[in-house]
Amino acid sequence: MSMPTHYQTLGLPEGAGIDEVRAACNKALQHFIQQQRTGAPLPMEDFEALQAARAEIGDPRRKARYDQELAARRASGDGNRTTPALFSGATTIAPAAKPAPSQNADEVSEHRFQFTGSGGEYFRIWITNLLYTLLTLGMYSAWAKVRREQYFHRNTLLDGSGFDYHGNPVAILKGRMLAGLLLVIYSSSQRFFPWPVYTGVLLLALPLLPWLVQRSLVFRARNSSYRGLRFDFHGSYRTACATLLPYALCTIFMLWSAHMVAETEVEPEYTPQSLRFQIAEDMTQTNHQETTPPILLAQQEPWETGADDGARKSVDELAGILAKARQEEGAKESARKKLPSPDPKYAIMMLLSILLLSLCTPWFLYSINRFRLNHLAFAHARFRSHIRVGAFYRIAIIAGLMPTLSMTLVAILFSVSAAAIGAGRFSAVFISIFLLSGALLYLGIFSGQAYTQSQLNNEIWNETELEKYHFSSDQSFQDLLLILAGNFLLTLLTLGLYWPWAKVRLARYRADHLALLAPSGALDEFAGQNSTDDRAIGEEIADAFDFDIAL
Amino acid sequence: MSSSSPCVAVYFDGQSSRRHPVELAAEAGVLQVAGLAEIRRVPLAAIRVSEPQGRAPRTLRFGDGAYCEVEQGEALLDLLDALGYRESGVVRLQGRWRWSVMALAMVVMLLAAGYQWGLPWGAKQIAPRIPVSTMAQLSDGVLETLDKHMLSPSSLSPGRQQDLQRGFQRLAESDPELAAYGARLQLLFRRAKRVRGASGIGPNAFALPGGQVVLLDELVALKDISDDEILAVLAHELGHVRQRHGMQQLIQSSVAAAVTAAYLGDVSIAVSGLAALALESAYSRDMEREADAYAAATLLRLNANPEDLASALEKLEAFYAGKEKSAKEEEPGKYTGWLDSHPDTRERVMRIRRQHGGK
Repeated sequence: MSMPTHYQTLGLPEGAGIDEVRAACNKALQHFIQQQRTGAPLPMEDFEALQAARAEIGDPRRKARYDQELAARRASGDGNRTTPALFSGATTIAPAAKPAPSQNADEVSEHRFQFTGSGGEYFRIWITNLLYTLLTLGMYSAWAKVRREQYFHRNTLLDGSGFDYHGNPVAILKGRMLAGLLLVIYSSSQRFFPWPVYTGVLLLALPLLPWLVQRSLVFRARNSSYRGLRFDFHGSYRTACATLLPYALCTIFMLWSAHMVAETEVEPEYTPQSLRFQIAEDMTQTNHQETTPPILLAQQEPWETGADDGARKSVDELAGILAKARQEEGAKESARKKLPSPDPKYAIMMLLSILLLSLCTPWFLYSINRFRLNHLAFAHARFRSHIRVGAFYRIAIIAGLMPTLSMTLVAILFSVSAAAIGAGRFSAVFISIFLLSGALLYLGIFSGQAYTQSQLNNEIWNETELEKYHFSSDQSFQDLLLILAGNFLLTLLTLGLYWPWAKVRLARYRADHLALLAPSGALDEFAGQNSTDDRAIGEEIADAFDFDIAL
Repeated sequence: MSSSSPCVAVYFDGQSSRRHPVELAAEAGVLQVAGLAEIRRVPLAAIRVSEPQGRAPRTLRFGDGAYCEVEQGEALLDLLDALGYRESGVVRLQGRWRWSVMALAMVVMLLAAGYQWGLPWGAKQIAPRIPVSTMAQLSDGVLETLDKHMLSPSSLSPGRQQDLQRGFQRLAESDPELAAYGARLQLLFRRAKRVRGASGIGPNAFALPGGQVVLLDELVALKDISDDEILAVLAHELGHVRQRHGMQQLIQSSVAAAVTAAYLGDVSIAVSGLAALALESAYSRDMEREADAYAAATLLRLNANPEDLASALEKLEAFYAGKEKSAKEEEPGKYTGWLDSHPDTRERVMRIRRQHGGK
């Protein structure tokens, strides 16, 4: 009843080395092909078992885990060492010795994603990309993006086959230039035009946002492939509008009422200084997409593909809103003293819009994820997601509590230490408290981030299916917290040089904790887009019309 | 079959996700794919070989959407060799650690050189090309905001204002280049606003890119400062206007902020913001020196004494030193020399005296 171990499949002793495993795989595969050519083909199941063995014990990290599992299984007395080998030496296959394949055909097995990249390799690609981008004054960045995407796609394997990325650098460069142009128009209209004109420009440009989002989702999907079949995205511009515009309007309303309130405030908020940071922030947002993992693994962070800057920004915005609200409190305080008080009408409007925004942010995250998943397709197979809006609210509330908790702790720490030390004596004690509270604040922020990412990811993938096959995601909050905090610290300490390793570490974790649940061989059953569909969605069309936008 | 060890691969036809185990061989520059219904032969020219990407399988793509996925290894390398395939230059470089270290060194050098020379040079080229009207628009907006939030009307007597205004006109008229700024080239009198009890900006004067020079009452009221010294400070500010430092600064700091944000931005916006601030204030040192030199030249042209600028700087320095000292006692660690935008005043004073001490 139990399956043969991968070692048995290859006819190797348990614990054989990686090189032996690979050699045995190749030999067995050659034999399989020979049989096929001589007209006595072996069943496909043999090939699948072979590929599974290669994926599992042909990779050092996986092999180590598999060996451990085997040892544990044997310790519990469940080892079935009597099952005959499938390939007992590549030349002597007895058809009778095979386990009945039909029994296993419907049995759902777990196909884990696998990431084979390493930090060192990616560092070499990254530094070369960086140098060429500098030398070409940024032009090479589109080619750099393709190299990077290809590295992350091709090193992501599912059931032994890699993903691939086909983005055309010229199309990406065009998209980047368009994005840059929009950015310049946006920031200069903010700087040079009075508020009403600027708002007007913003409102006029609003229909552009869903278009950009939809185009970039299409571009990304159509340029990703697995086993020679492309992904596709069927979401229409109209659906994109319906998904994005309510939130965008809500945000604009909030900003407007905040502006009306600020009009009568004493806070200096429009100095060249703040202008500079605005530019810096804008640039960060453009850059944010830099290393998105392959298409399926990219979905965890709803704000990361850059498709929905509104959604991603909403988290930052919440922090900003809090700061604004605090400013607002200060303003009220001073208003009570003597300054011209802000129009209460606007203040109420602002508070209401902030409330509305915070209330609907999880809902917005939910609907944008539904939008991107429910319109995603692999060849002819559609993705369907049954994500629940309640889960998004639960995650947002818990994740929001973490930074709040750490801020409260810091506040308590400060007030207690201020009382204990008293005025006049600072130095070492003060500095250590300062550092401690800094660490606490960062811990709070990272906890919130790690919780959101891991839980959203699990929710999204556990509730999504591809035709009749399900996914399973089991990221844990603690693991991700360690990874995120460690990556941040090491990147900071190495002045950014750790960055490639950090990216690889995260990509590996994501791959290790995502699996497709399908009967073995089911992944062979997908039909291509060209066979029955005459809408020729070829590479050329995608390249000619699509822009890859990272706003 | 000419190649020694056969190379096994998985073939995909581009129509379905089905895997076909195949064997690859090279024969006179033509790839043979065996294991399908019939042997497929593809010349090297029609194959797109993917770059090696670590341990990721490599792909050999044929024009019709079909491709082979091959494990990276000796068998494949032998096959590609037999086909006559050469890796691209970038790939050969990427594979070597020595190159990576070199690339890293070059990146660091390029960034340092770009920051040290390229950026100021570029900003200097661009700043004069920005129309005065644009700078005026920018300045008007900034001034409006400053007036709203940080400055209040001057309380100097009209007579005192007129005296200073006359001196300013003399300075301005001595340089025909400044005529381009038109009516915006003016001296404005303001007082620093006290924000919630804290003293505002303190004794200061500053220039906006559009030509407005703002003089704060606090500077005029500084202990022992003479009108000549005030005019020397104004000449220094005119130097900033004339050399378009404001615009240059804005360009430089925007680019520096953009680059640091692009590099560190993913780590933390706060960190990159701080880094940009530190980079940016280092720039203004050179500009201060340039403005000093301009002021000294202007003063000489008008038969005034550059020493006035030196002594004005010393008085300002003395004021801020006293303030800093008391501030340090209140809040240690808040002031650091690096973030100080008027650094090494003593050095500037000495430079002015060294160059114009004879006078």
